Amino acid sequence: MSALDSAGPALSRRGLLVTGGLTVSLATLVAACGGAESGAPGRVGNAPIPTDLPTAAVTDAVLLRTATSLEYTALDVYRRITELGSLDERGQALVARFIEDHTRHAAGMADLTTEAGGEAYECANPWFATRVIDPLFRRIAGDEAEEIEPSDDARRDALSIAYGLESTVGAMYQQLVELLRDRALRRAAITIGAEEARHAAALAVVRDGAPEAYVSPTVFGDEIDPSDSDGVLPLFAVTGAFGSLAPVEFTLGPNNDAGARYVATLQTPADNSYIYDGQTCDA
Amino acid sequence: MTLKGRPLVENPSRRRVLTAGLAGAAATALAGSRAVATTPTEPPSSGPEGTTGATAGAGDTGTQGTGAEGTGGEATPTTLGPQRPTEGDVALLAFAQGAELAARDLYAAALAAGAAGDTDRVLQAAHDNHQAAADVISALIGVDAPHEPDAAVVEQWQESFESSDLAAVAAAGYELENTLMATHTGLVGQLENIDGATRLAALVIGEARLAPVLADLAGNGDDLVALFDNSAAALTPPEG
Repeated sequence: MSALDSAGPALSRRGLLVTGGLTVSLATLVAACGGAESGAPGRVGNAPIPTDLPTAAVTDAVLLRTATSLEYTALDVYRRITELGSLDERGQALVARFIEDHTRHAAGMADLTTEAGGEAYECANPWFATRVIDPLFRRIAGDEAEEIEPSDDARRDALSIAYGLESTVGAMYQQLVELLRDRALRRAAITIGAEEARHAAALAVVRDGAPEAYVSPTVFGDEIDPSDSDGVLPLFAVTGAFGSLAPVEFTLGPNNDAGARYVATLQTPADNSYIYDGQTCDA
Repeated sequence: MTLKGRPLVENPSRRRVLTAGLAGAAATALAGSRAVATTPTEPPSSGPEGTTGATAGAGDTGTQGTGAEGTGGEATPTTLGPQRPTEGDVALLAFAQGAELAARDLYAAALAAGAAGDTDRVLQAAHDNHQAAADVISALIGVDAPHEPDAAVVEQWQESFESSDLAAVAAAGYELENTLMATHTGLVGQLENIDGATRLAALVIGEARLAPVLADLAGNGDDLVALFDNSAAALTPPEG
């Protein structure tokens, strides 16, 4: 008998298979039980256990509630523009018409929300109001605490804000066609979106004049040079063959020490600015 | 009995190993799927010149990262329709392409007649935009694209467009654009395929921005009804 023969009990094929099978089973059991917490740091002290935010579905009703909130946001913007008193008669006539249109759009979206099984949300969008609209108007009125100079042309900047908003709301309705499940709602959305796009085109012409503001040079592959207009980004009615979902940019306020103006950017609503079910407001 | 002449139950350990292995694999897969929160969605599509997934924000006023309103949103599970245009969609999109190519030819006729003069770029832009629209529809329906202008549309407007009078052509173009907008808007409500609906919606917005310019060129820039209302009737798509 060799030394190896006397080292212990022989390792039979059956024994090897039993041991292997048990090992695999235990390993998978451990993996299944421990996977979710792997890598989590240990907790120290008495901090409360964090709870996950409730998940919220983006339904047709949520999208329609959001659209309604953007219509109320537009109404709030035109109220503030009117209070500025910087527009001439033609500009103010447009604003009066836009207020009529957005009031009608808001009512229409609220009705569609109810028909879609949701609760109408008849207030301005809180995310846009505080994070988007208020800062834009500070660029007109100025803010000493934040060292923001008042606008050097309140009429121009008021029309720019209106243009940016109308373009963005039009793009929102275009985007809703992709998101809404109900085909009738898609049609309703693009009907209103077309009206907002017409608003934007007219605002471009009123602010920058005809024929300069008719067609963007980019339509023909040329570039826009803001230095031609003292750093003010020109506005155009026709910006391409198709509506764009890209962010809308426009300048506000005076040139700073570096000779550049503040560039504002507006984008269509998304997860954090949707008006989810359960969100309420005091209309 | 096996080929070696042993009963199948003679080697239970091997069977247990296989069973345990399969069960373990299944358990691992289950654990893995539990840890990954995915929602299968239809791939997002974008407008021909647009982008999707844009987030709300404004310049340096903040970005959307965590739940600003305390309502953790989640990806929308989308079941928005067939991924390819249906047979009915193809017919509707072919009809839309015919209208777009007719518009292109009408603006080409106006340009050939000298309506744009030396300075106007609106008619050229309108011509190019309608060609681009037809191209996008070709991309959607491929070999089914007719590549032919709608003869009825050309015939209806031809006389108005074959003119060197810019204001007159602009007035005709205004009517044509309103008609196309009404037509495409109706088609958006009929198409089952979401890409087709999305592309036509982008076209509607593009044409909507052109219409007030044509109204202004036609001398109606102070007429708010002309600038913002569209009372045109839609073209009638083919039956079926």
